[in-house]
Amino acid sequence: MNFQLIALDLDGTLLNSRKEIPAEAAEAIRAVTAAGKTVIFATGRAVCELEEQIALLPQVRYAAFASGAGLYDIKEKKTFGLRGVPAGQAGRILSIARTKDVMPQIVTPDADVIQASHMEQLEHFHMGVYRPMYERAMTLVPDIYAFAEACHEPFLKINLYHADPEERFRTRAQLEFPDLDLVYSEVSSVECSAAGVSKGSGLERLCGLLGVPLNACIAVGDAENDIPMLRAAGLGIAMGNAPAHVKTAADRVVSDLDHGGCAQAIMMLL
Amino acid sequence: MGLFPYRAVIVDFDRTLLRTDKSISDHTIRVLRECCQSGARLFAATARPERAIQAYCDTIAFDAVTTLNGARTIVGDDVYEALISNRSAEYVLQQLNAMEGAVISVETGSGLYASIDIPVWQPTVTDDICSLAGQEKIYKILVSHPQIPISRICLDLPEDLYTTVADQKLIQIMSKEATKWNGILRMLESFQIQTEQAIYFGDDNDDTEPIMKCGCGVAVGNALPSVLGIADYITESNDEDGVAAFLSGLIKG
Repeated sequence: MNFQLIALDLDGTLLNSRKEIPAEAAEAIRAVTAAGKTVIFATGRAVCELEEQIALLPQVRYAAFASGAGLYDIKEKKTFGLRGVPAGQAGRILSIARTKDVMPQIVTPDADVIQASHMEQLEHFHMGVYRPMYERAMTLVPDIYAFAEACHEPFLKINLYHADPEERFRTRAQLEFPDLDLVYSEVSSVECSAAGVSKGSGLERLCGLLGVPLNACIAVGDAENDIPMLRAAGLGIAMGNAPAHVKTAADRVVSDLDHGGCAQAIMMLL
Repeated sequence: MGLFPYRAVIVDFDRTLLRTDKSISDHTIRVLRECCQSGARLFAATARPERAIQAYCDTIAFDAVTTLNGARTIVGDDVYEALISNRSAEYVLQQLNAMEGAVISVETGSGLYASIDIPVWQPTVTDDICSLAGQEKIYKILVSHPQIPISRICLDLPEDLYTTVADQKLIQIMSKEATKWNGILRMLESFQIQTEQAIYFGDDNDDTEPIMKCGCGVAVGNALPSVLGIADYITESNDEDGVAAFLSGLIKG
């Protein structure tokens, strides 16, 4: 199979445990793009959280962000193809979140928003490792629930980070609804998007734009929210650090995030 | 009068603004007028030449049009052109001429020429299509083949040209400068409107860039899957007056 494109998840995949791009992965991206292949990001992050990676990897032109809820033209600095959470659902998700020890994060086209007091408690919600990124990229509001009521922009994604990782299973069951897609990510989160929106649909939409058939694509990831794109792509690769059910959904497994796994996957394009 | 949130409404013609039978409904014409009365400029971005949209322009007051996929943009008395160079035109026409059975047509400064008669288009038929390269301004070269699928047509394309496929059966060859987006930029600049203030409606491959780059990009329901995938909104099909439906929704309030 002559693969033409690779979709890379960021956290836990391209980025190592220190949230850096390993040298061999950067080199692999340089090599494959020089050979005419296409590399795209497929991330749960919002556009404002991609600045560093965009600057370090100028070969990457497009990203599917907010787990496929939005597409981004890096060169033109323009989002397009936004697919937000249905308006009624946003209210429902947040009213359930209010009853729990949860940090909601709302991703809009321009900003990634959390409550100021939650920023001080990132470790409590098992997100301490993201503190530097959050300090750089998050927009803080005094009251996330009041912000949500007043905001008229589409919510591309609503992430709920739980203090108790076990609680997220209950939350997901409570939120289950035909027009919502729910996935687990990180240690304790449930990510909510519009039905049909996933990294898989994001990959499919970018492939449609670029004229690349899905079976000529490779997708690499490590978390549950990567499963749809691992399945959609011609070759789905799970990182060594991925949990068992993500590995099962993949065609191949590579080394982990600190041992060159992503670089191995990228080189499969050649 | 409602407040209309965009300063420019830009529409593709075939299979977007127009129904499949090429008609435009009275309802659509009324809605477009309402947008203009609310202060928006109205632009067209089409693969057609000017002569083929004249009848519609008599009914709808477009503020500017970009025709021939951006090869010729008309803003009042000003005309902006992105032509195929003589050298490139000659090279391409020679290759096409050597392909048996290829139907070749050329949009020039003095109208449409073709290698055989194409009744629907009424071209000037010529058996010396290559000679057009030195003699005429060339906006677009079109090629189709009754037997060979267009994906199998092999052309050594000069660096300064690109191809686009329309209706999944016609290859259009143009200068790289001739794009709907470049034509749109000219029109927006002429009226000092920012891209973020424009809303675009389209259905086909050549509408992808405007849909991605305008403030709001809308695909009609009948659009190609790849176009549906990258649009911000999807409206009803052209035959259900999708453009009017979406614009009406914006005008209210």
